[in-house]
Amino acid sequence: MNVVEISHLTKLYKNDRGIRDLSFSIKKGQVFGLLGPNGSGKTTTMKIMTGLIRPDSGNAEIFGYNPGEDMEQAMQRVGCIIENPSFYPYLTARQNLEIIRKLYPNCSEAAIGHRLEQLGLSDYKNEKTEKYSLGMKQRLGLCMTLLSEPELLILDEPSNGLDIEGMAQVRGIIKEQAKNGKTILISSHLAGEIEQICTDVAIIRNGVLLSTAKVPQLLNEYGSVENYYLTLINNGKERAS
Amino acid sequence: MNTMKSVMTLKSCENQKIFRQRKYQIYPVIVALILIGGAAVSMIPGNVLGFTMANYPYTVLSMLNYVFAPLAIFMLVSDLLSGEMAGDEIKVMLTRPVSRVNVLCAKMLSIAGYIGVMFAGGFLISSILSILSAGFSAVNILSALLAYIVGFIPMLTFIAMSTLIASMSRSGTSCFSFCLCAYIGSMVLGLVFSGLSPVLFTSYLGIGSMVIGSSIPVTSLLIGISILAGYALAFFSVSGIKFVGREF
Repeated sequence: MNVVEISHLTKLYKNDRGIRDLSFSIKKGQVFGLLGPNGSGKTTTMKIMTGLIRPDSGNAEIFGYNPGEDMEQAMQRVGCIIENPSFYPYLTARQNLEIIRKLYPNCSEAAIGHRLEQLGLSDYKNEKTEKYSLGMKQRLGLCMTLLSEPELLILDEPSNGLDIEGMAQVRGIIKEQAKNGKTILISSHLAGEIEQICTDVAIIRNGVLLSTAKVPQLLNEYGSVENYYLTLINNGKERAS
Repeated sequence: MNTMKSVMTLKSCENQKIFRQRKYQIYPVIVALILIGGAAVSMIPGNVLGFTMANYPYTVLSMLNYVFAPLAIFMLVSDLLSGEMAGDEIKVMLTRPVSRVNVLCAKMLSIAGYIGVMFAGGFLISSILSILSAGFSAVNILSALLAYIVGFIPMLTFIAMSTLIASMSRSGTSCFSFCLCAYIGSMVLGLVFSGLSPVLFTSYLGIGSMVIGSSIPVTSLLIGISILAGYALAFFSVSGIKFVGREF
């Protein structure tokens, strides 16, 4: 069974943007990248997958459950960051994590300390998160996502706002999760990021899925994911003209 | 997690959020100081405020029902619902394995809990002050306790109304303003069009006073409670539909 099954998903906003007839699936252990420019529909897809919005038509299933109908079952083994990491600014990092821990019966108290340590936030755990820098917020978001040891990670532009060091750290954590057999869906508008992390990539533009491919295969044929992306876009333009 | 356990877990998360915020720690203290100050002023010869200390628990109940509790409800609903929806913090809960209905119920229960604590505090402070100044025999503690329990019922309707407004508001500030307008508007409506009074839920804010005295008007009391429950159910149903269907 596929961990994620997206079939003919359509969601259009009033400005006619959104996603159209999107279909793809993610198998266990895959690190699946959703690559596309800003406004291409990556976040919309992820929002539907996490039950934050409902599709106009089509179906999204996570571990066989539809998040729009069976949120509790669908999200049991999922950790996600959608758009920006969300937490309560008037609480400290530790207090935020304690709240999350309560929602997962199997999550231990020790896991909080371990994750804070892993993400380099131990020294700031008792500071209110409203005082955190963008990079620290992103790391805390990851911390909250990983706390329940989810089997599927849905990460919407996880390196957004991070400096070089922060990006490398986040990349390292994602790779480590992948090594541990976790399934990961990651969105980005940076081809280089997808290339370094993902095993598979789906190119999405103007809400339409242009292609899905294996990253090592693309690297062999095109040299980089960016070259492949540009070739795909240029071919599309030629066909259109 | 079963529904009840899930709601209780979420409620404890909401409680943690409420009691960790400075304003919700300070608000009951300010209310307590006002109550103590009011009692102190009324004990000054001449009794400027016109309170009778033997009836102080009932006076405090009115203050809670008409001013302090509604304000606290509006603040809490604005922060926990519309404020979180506007600031995206609502996603912390909504992207977890919990249903939206449970999240909404937990928030409402937490607010009810906070108001319950305020009522309990108001009852204790006013009763103690009343006993100290008027003597134990002058105060009917059991009657006062019953009045507080009954007086708490309209607050549940208030919470449901505010939740409905919050589920339609774009920000915490607008939610607070709309709640305040709805409250004042409803009170004014009842005063201007007295014929409407029996069907306006704000007319039953002082329902706790019905149980004071030797004979309790059971029928009127039941009618009042039924109207409040009807409003609460209607508000809760609509706010539930709005919240569950809302896109974030």
